[in-house]
Amino acid sequence: MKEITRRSLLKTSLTTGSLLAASPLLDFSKWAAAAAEAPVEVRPSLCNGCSSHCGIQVHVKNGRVWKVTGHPDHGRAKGKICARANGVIGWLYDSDRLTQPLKRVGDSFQPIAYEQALDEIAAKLKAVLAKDGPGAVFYEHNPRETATFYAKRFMWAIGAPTVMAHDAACKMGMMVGFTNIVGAVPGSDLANSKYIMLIGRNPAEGIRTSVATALSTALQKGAKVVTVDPRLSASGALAAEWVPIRPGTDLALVLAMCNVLVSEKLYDADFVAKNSVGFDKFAAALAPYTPAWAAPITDIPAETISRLARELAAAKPNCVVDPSWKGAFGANYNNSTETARAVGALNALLGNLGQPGGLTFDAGAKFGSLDPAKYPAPKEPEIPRTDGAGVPGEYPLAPEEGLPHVVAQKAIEGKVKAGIIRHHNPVKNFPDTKHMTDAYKALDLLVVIDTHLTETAMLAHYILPEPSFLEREELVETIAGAKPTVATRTVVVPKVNADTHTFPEIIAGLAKRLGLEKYFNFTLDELNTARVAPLGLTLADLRAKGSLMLDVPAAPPGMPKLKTASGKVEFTSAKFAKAGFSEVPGWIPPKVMPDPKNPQSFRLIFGKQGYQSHSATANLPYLLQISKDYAADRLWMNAKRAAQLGIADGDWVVVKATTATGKIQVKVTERLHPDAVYLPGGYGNWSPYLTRAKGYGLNVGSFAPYQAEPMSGHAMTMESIVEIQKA
Amino acid sequence: MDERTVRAQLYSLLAARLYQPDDAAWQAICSGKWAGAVRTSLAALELSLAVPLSLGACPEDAARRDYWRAFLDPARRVRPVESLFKVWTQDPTAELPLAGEKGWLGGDPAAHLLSLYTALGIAIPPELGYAPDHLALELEFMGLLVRHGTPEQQEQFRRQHLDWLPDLVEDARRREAPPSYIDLLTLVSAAVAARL
Repeated sequence: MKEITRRSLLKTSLTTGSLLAASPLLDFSKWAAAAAEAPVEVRPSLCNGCSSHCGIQVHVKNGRVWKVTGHPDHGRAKGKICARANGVIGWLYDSDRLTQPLKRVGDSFQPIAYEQALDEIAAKLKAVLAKDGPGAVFYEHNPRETATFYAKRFMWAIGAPTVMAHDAACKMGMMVGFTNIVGAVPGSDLANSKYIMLIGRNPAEGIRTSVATALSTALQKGAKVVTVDPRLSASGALAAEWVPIRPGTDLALVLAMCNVLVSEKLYDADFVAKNSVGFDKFAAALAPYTPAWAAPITDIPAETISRLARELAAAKPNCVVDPSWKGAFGANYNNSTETARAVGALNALLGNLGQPGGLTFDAGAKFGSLDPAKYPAPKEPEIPRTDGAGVPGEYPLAPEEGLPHVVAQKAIEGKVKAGIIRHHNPVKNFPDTKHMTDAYKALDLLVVIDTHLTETAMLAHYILPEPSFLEREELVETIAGAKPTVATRTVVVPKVNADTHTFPEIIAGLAKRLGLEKYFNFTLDELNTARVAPLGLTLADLRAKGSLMLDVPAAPPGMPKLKTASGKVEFTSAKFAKAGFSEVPGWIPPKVMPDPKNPQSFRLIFGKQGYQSHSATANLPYLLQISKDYAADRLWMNAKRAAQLGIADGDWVVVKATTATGKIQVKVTERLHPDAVYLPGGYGNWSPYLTRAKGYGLNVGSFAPYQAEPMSGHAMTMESIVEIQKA
Repeated sequence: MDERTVRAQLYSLLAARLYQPDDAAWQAICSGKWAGAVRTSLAALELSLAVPLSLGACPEDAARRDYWRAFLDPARRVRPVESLFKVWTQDPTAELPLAGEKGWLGGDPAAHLLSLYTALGIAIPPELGYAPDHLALELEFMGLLVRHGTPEQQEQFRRQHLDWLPDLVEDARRREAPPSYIDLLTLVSAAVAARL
C-alpha cells in the first residue's frame, strides 16, 4: 500500500528519542495548565466590522484572541466598541472562511496553488489588455487606504482608469450635492448643537459609537432632536419629534423650509452676504416651494413645515440639518443629489458653517508620500473611465468613486472584459441581482479577493483569500477631527493560513508578472515610514500605540475657507449648469411612486441595524443570533395598510417586484409611513458557502431595477415599487 | 511486518482517505486495493472490525463526487476538525463570546497540537494551517506515536485528542454525508475505540 502511505501530511524526521523527550508536551492537561499561566498582551488594531475602522485593542493570550476593547485614543472609538466589533473577531476562527486560492472548474471550485493562480490571472489579464485595451478592465472594492493606494497604482500602471468603490449604492448623491455647494462633505457638531434635524439618518443604530455618543450628549444638554424619516427608527425613539415623511420627497420639505427662512427673512443674512455666491438666484427660485406646495407631496402639514423652519432659525447658528450618509439621500432616489445640495443650502441659510453645533470641516493628518525619484509612480491614464464617471456626455458630475452598476451594463454589452473585486459584494449589494450576475458572467476574467466566498465570489474565475484583518498590517490611516486621528493595523496574531495573501502581496505579484514591478519596488514599511514622517512619528511608535490623536492648533472660529471654486457657499453651480442641470437647487420628483389605485403597491425602503453591516456580518453566529432573537429580518408594514390587506403581525407575505419575488414575515407597526414597506439591509444571502446567513431574510438589492440617477449616476437604491400579497 | 508497523500503516491508510487523496490514492481506493489493505491489516491485528462494502472498489468519478459531497460541498460538508467539536477554550479568563462555545476553529486542541508540532519539528501542509487538529493529521500523528512513542503516550493521545469521533460520525449522519463516508468515519471511530 505504499502508493497511499508514501504521501505523508506530516513532514518530520521524528525519532523515538525525541518523542520520549517530548512526553510532557504530549499531555493536553499539562499544556492547558501551562497555557493558562501565560500573560495577556494587548495589541492595537482597527476593527473591520464596517467601513469606520474604529480603533480596537485586542487582548491576546498564547497567540489567540482573548478579548477586544475600544481604543481610547481613536477618534471614532473613543474607548468604546459596538456589538459588531465583538462579533467580527469570529472571522478569525470561522469554519466558513476561505483557506486557499480557488479556481473555477465548470460549476464548482478547485484548489489552485497561489503562484499558479497569479500566473494564470496575469496571462488572462495580458490577453484582455492586448485585445480589448485597458478600458475593458475594472477594479472595485469597499475602499480604505491600503487597497485604494495599491489598486489605483496597479490600475494606472496597466493604463486602466476605472477604479471604483461601493459609494454609488451608498452615499454618492450626498457626496456630489455637498461637494458642489460647500466644497466637501462636512460633519456635524452634534454634541454642541441646540437643534438637530436628522433626515433619514439613524446614528443610534448606524454606525459609529462616537456619533451615537455625541447625539446622547446633545440630548443630555437639552438639544431638540427631530427625525424626518418614513420610519420611526431607534434615533427617532430618542428624538423629541418624529416627522413621518412620504419616502422620496425630502427635497420638497427642504426646499419649503428654505422658502420659509427666506420669505420670512429668518435666514442669517449677514452670513449669506459675506460667505456665499448666487443667493439671489436661489432665493428667487424658491418662490414656488411654499409649505402649502410641499404639504401634499411630503404628507407633512404645511404648518409643521413652517414650524420646523422657524425652530431651526430660532436656534441658528448652533443648529444643524445633518448631512447624513446614506440616510434619506445617499444614493436612494432620482432626486438624492439635488436633496443633498438643498440640505447644504439650508444649512448655509442658517449660517452654521464652522459654528458650535453646526457643520464642521475638519481635516485629517497630512501624510507624506514615497519619493518619486526612488519609487516611480505610474501616470494617470488618459483614456476616459469606462463607467462614465466624470466623462462629458455620460456622468460628468460623478466622482472618482465611480459607478459599478454602469460598468456592469457595459460588461453585458461586451465592452468590459475583466475585473478585480476586493472585499466587496456588488452582486448582492447593488440593485438588480440578475443585472449584476449577467454582467460578471459575461466577463473573460473575474478575480475576487476576499476572506469568504460571497455571492460575488461565486461568479469568479479565481478567488484569492486574504488573511483576516487581525492577521495583517496595512497602510497608516487618518481620520478627520479637531484632533485628527492617525492609526494603523498591526499583526495581532500570526497568519492562520499560510496560503492566504495580503492585498499588497497579490498586487505586487500580479505587477511583477506583467512587467510592472518597478511601480512596486517598496515595502509596506517603507511606504508607511514615508507617510508618517511629516507628523514627527516613527512607525515603531505608531505600531506600539496603534492609534493616537494629534494635537494640532485649533481652527480659527467661524466660517472656514471652502473648497469650492469661489471658496464660499455656492447657491448657484456652474458645474451643474454646464452638465445640463439646474444652476440652483430645485424640485425633482422621485422616479417612481406606488400606484394609489393598487392597495398592494408600496415603495420598498431599507436601513441599518446596529448589530449588522451590509452583507458582511450576517454570517457571524452571535450577530445573526441577535437578529433571530428580535426577528429582525421582518418586513415592516403600516398597521392601517396591513389591515386593509388583511395582514396580521407575523403573517408571511410575498414581496414582488419586476426584478425579484420573495417571502418574508411581517411586522405590523404604526412606526412606518403608509406608502412604504421597510426591510433591514444586510440579509438574504444565497451563497451556500455562508452556511449560517444563507436563506435568512430577504436581500433588498434584488428588488430594485438597474438604473442610474442622471446627476451623479448613483444606483437609486430605493426607486423600487413592490406589491405585497399575503402568502 | 511487525505489529507496530501494521498499526502505523493502518493509521496512514485511514488518514489518506480523509484529506484530498492524490491520484495514486484514488487509484488504490477505486480498485479496491485500499479496502483490501485495511482488511488485511485489521485481520493481522486481530481486530474484529468489518470493512464495509461501500469502501471497496468503485467507479472513480463516483468516488470523487462522494468525497466532494462529504468534505467540500459548502452546503453540507463535514469538517473533521477537533476544535469544531469541542468548547473553544477551557481557560475561564477568555472573554470572547465564542470562548465557551463549540463550532470554532483554532480552539485548545489546535493550539496544543500546533505547539506540539513546533516543538517536535513537524511541518504540516500550509493549506491545513487553519486546522492543525484535522483528523487526517491527528491519525498520522497517532501513527508516529505508534512507531516512535510509548503505549502510554498513544493511550493519552487517543483519550485527549481522538475522543470526539462519535460526535463526528453523528455530525456526518446529520449532514447526510454519502454512505461510504459515514461508513469510513464509523470505521475510524471504531478502530480508535478498539485501541488500534
